[in-house]
Amino acid sequence: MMLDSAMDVGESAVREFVARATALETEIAKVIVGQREVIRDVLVALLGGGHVLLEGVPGLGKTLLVRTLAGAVNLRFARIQFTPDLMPADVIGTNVVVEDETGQRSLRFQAGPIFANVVLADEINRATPKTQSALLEAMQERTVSVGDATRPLPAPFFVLATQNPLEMEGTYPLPEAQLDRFFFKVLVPFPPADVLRRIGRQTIRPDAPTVNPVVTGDELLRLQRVARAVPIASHLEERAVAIVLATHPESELATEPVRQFVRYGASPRGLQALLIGSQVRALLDGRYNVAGEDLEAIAASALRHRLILNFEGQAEGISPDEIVGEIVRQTAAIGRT
Amino acid sequence: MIATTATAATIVHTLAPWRRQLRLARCLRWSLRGVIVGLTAAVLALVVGRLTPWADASAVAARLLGVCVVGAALIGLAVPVSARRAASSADRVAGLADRVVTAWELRDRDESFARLQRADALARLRLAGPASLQPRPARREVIALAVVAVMCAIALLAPNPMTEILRQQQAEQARIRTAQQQVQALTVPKPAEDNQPALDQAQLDQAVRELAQQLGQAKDAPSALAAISKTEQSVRAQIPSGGDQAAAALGAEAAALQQNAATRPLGNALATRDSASLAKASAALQAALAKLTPAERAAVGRALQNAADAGTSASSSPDAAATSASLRAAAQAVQQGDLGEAGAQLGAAQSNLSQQLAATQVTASAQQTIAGLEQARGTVSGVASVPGSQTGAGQGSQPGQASAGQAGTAASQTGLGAGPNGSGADQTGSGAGQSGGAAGDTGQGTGSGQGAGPGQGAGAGDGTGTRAGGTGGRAASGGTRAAEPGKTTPGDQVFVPGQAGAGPSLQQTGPAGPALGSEVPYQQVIGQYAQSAREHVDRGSLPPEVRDLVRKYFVGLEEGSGQ
Repeated sequence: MMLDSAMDVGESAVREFVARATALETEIAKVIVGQREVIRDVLVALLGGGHVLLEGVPGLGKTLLVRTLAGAVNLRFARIQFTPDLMPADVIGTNVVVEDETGQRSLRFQAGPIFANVVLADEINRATPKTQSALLEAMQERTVSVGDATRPLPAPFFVLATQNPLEMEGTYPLPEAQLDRFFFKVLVPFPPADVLRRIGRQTIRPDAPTVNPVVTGDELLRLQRVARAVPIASHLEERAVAIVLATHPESELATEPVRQFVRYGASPRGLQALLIGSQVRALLDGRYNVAGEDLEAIAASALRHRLILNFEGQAEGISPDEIVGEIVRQTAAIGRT
Repeated sequence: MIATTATAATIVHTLAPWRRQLRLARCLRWSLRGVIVGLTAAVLALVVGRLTPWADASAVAARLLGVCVVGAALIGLAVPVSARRAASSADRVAGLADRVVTAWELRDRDESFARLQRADALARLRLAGPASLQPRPARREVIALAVVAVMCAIALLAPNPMTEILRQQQAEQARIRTAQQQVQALTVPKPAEDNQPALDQAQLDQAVRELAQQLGQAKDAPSALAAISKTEQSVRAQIPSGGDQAAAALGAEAAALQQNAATRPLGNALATRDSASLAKASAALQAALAKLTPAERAAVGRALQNAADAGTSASSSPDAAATSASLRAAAQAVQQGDLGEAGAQLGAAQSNLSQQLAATQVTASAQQTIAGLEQARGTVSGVASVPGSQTGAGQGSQPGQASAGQAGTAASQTGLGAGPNGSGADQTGSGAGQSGGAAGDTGQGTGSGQGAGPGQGAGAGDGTGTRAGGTGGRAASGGTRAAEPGKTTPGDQVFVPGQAGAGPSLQQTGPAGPALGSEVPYQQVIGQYAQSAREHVDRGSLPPEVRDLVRKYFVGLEEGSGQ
């Protein structure tokens, strides 16, 4: 069975996709040293129309990555520094009383920073759940409701949130519903020695590299539509479904670690992330079809934040990535005959 | 620019070499599995052939292997390889990242993306080629093959404990077949003998034919021997009582009649056992009586009288007595010149003689058949069957000599055995024997008897015991067979070598035997003992060689009983 492709995409569109994506990667790599997998995952989420939660210790370039990306796509960028006293209105905006030249007073909506194309929600877990929830509607519906009015957000709309896994004091872990709205959760690893050397050399130079916009908003929307047309073989669809089902401890496909350490598995949004991310990755690799290796490559990013560990799993320090890796290995034979 | 004109037919065409290669690989893989399954089945067959005597185990194992390999290879060739499977294999083997299988699924789609994808997949598929698809057996299959191959080699090369048993069985079957042919030879139609009742001959032939059929179905020597024994008993039952005496009486009468020229044809007819000639000679004598002189009639009368006396002395049977009476009456009538009465009495005598002739013919046929059956029995048991050779012809205890024997084996506890039973020809006497119990117990026995007969015989005793009716009875020996053939001399005390038993002996002074002249035939008891022994060894967990030893022992005894 194939995913139904509603749009007829020509070879030129595919070529444009590869060219623009390559240009984006190149521009970002001018500023971000190393972290190629992180850059690739962020690009996949951007071209797939999803939001990204970046997790890593301070100083690894998370914010710089987002700023660089925003600069490369020539879109309106907004940064929100999440703090405990940040209010929802500080994010989405509010109605304020204004007086016109005739002295007439009226309420006017003052848009918040979320009315941008690329929004950086820095240290998102430092805000209260109330403020975090203000992002829910924006991320999923791409609209903001204030008072009686619902206002659409600009397209494309891309939220990149960061969080620090170490400093947990005074933080508010994101609720499951919030986490599920992130297309990918990307772990930013500490760079190895050679990358560190290159970071040191590049950042102490007086002439810091500049980023040039290579993709417009309209082009980005077109690229997103092209990616959705990439065909997926039926056995790969089956495998994606099996992977998601296997994350549920009550499923017949569940692996032993899932049964032992997982409380809730991935939602259908996880399946969407798997399939769409695979389509984008296939195009980035110059393929016109999704391959099993695409699913394997993005499975952890798409599912790790959607696995809710039980107490035993948390106490044992089980990594969701290990569980996902085991599931991916066990489903490798699906559809091979 | 990628050519986007690839169609479903193009994909199928491009996949064709892959499908052929996959089919070949599948055939090889299935063949390997067939070898594994076939070797496993062959090992099972060979193992069964080691647990039970199975002559065809190796042949069946080879057939199983062949059938499994050929069957598996045919299955591998017969089951077609689908295009989708070929596409999936090409993706996996050539590292095409699911391009071909996706192209196969998109083969009927007309979107530009589908056309692009198909063209890309086919271009890469053509570059890869099916040569990269090399059939490689799975590791577990190789291990399984090695294991079953080693097991099969062990099962083939290791000594098979059933080989000797099979060889014995084959030899046994060959002997049974030979015996069957010998028995079938007995059924060859014999020249008609008008003085032998057709019913008796037909019964004999029927019994022999049934025996030949039973031998053809016999699976082992004991069953064949049992069939032979049963037939022999039925044949013996057909022998008229006093058949031997009738023959002796006829011989004596013939000799007496041959002394006179006028009665010589009658005597010759009797001597040749020719019933028709007897009738003719009788009629001729009746016709000639009137032409004879008184002196010649007197000579004829004396010859008839002598024949009557000889018949009376040779046989005490009622037939012989009736014949003698007729001959005496005929002699008296001839001497008195009463030719009418003489003719009537001669006719009666001729009729009686014809009946006696028929009785002797039946006896001869039955004895001939019995001899043939004895030969077949010897063939089946694998022992040379020369009548009389096992008992030592002519040997026997002399009157008054003590005979001694050894107690039987502990296994039998009663010292059952067979030994030469002295029955000295034309000698009478009595003897006393003492039996020494070799198993620790002692036993005494006395035996006295009167021996008469052709000078050989066979007997059985239980070691000790009074054999009042015995013929110089010799105590039995247990353990091994009777006296070795031909190694005894007449009149010797023959101690049949037997093995002393390790257990207690039940040798006791036996009760008084049957009264003089009422011996229990040896055949009546040895058959029961032999049958009981066979049943016990068949039920018991004895080694095959011990079973054979016991069987042969009783076969030897049975053969001795038939002589």
